[in-house]
This record gives sequence, structure tokens and C-alpha cells, in this order.
Amino acid sequence: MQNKRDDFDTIIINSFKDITVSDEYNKKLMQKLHKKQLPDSKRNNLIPSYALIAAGLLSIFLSITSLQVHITNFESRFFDKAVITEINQHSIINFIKQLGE
Amino acid sequence: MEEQEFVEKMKTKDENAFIYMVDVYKKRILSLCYSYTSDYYEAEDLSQEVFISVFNNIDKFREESSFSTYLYKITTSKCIDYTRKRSIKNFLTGLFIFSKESTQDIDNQNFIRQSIQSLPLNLKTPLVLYYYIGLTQKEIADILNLPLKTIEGRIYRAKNKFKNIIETEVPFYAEQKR
Repeated sequence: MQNKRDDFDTIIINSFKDITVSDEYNKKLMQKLHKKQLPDSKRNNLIPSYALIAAGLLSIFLSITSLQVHITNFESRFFDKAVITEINQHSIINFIKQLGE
Repeated sequence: MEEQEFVEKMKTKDENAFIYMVDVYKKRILSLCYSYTSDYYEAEDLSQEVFISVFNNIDKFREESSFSTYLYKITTSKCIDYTRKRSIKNFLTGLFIFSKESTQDIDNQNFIRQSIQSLPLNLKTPLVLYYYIGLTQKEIADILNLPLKTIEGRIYRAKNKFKNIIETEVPFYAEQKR
């Protein structure tokens, strides 16, 4: 191993001299330190993972039970009934009108 | 404040002692992290992670080595972890993005830093600890748990590799040497 420093040693050493520490470094560090010590922050970090698990379970439940088909059936049956009721109402009104004339 | 004193105070969770320790080491730890990240903000995050980890686990410091050796040990291990995570991330993003960074616009200092960064991990770590942090080869051997001769050889090989990169990429250096 060489003892004297050559050009390349100087190049390597100098290449990192322009790195300066920001004024906010300690402030940010203390914020991070206190954030990590808070128990709530851990709980907050878990929320997205719980949401993801819940979404997965919901999609599995939907695909197994074909719930969307049931909902569509219910919706179309409801509209059928509504249309039938409307037609019936119109025919009753028309009948009353005819009686009146 | 002596090393022993701030270590003892940190064990009692004294934040002033922690800040004192951070002020003593932050420039060197940041430089060491920067040699792995090549991005100032990532280096800052990584170095802060090191300090928080040291403060939270100071009870595990048995004082068998000096505090600085312990701190550099944690830093190098965090940096190596970071490199591994990043190589996985780069591999995954590389599957979808096919672009290569241009080296034309980078300045000399950045080019040198990137050349050092491109060295294999086992050569880069001793080189960085030796040149940037200014540790002795014996201290580096302690930090990396390797024999002194191995460290000597690695620094020598790292420097030769770095020389080759510089001489190939920057013809000016090669011409100067002739």
C-alpha cells in the first residue's frame, strides 16, 4: 500500500467536500424522532394496509356470492313494479275521466 | 463533551446529548450515505434513519468498541440494505422503463462520485470509509469484521478500478499521465 497521496487520492477526497448539511437537518431529525416515538403514528401507518385487506376481502365476497347480480335483479324488479304501478295508475285515471265524460 | 459522557446521557434518553452527537457526526454520516444514494435528499433520510436507530438502540451498545466504530457499523449496514432494496426496485422499474441516464450534463464532482458509486459494494465501502470518513485501515477492518490485509487489498483494488474508469471516460487524465 502506498504511503504518499497521489492525484487520484486527492480527486476522491475532494469529490465529497461540496456536500453540506442543510440548516433544517436537526429540526427534521427531531420531528422524525418524535413521530417514531408516538404510538398513534404506528396505528396511522396500519390504516392503508387494513383498507387494502378489507378491499380484497370485499372483492372476494362479491365474486363468491355474485352479489352484484342479485343487486341488478332487485333493481330491475323494482323498476318493473314501478312501471306496472304507473301504468295501472294511468289506466285508473283514464277510466275515471271516461266515466266523468 | 467526551464520547463516554454523551453515550451515558443518550442511554438516559437525553435529547441534548443526542443532538450533540448528531452535530459531531452528521457531515461524515451524510457523506457516507451520499456515496451510496447519489441523491442528497435520500442521503439525508438515510442518515437520519441511522441516527434515530442509534438513539433508540443505544442500550445495545456494549462499549466493546468505540462509539464511532459502532455508528459507522450501523451506517454501512443501513447503506448496504438501502443498496439491496434499490437494486430490487431498479430491477422492477427496469422491466418497464428502458431509458439510460445521460452523463453529459453532470459536472466533474458528480462524475467522480458516480464513478465511485459504480464500484462493486465490497470495494466501495472500504474506499469510502478510508477516503471520505478518514478512518484508518484498522478501524475499517473492525467495522467490516474483516482482516486488515483484506481491507488493504480492497482499497488498493478499488482505487485501481476507479483510476481505470477515470482514464477511460476522461481522456484528459490519461493524456496527462503519458
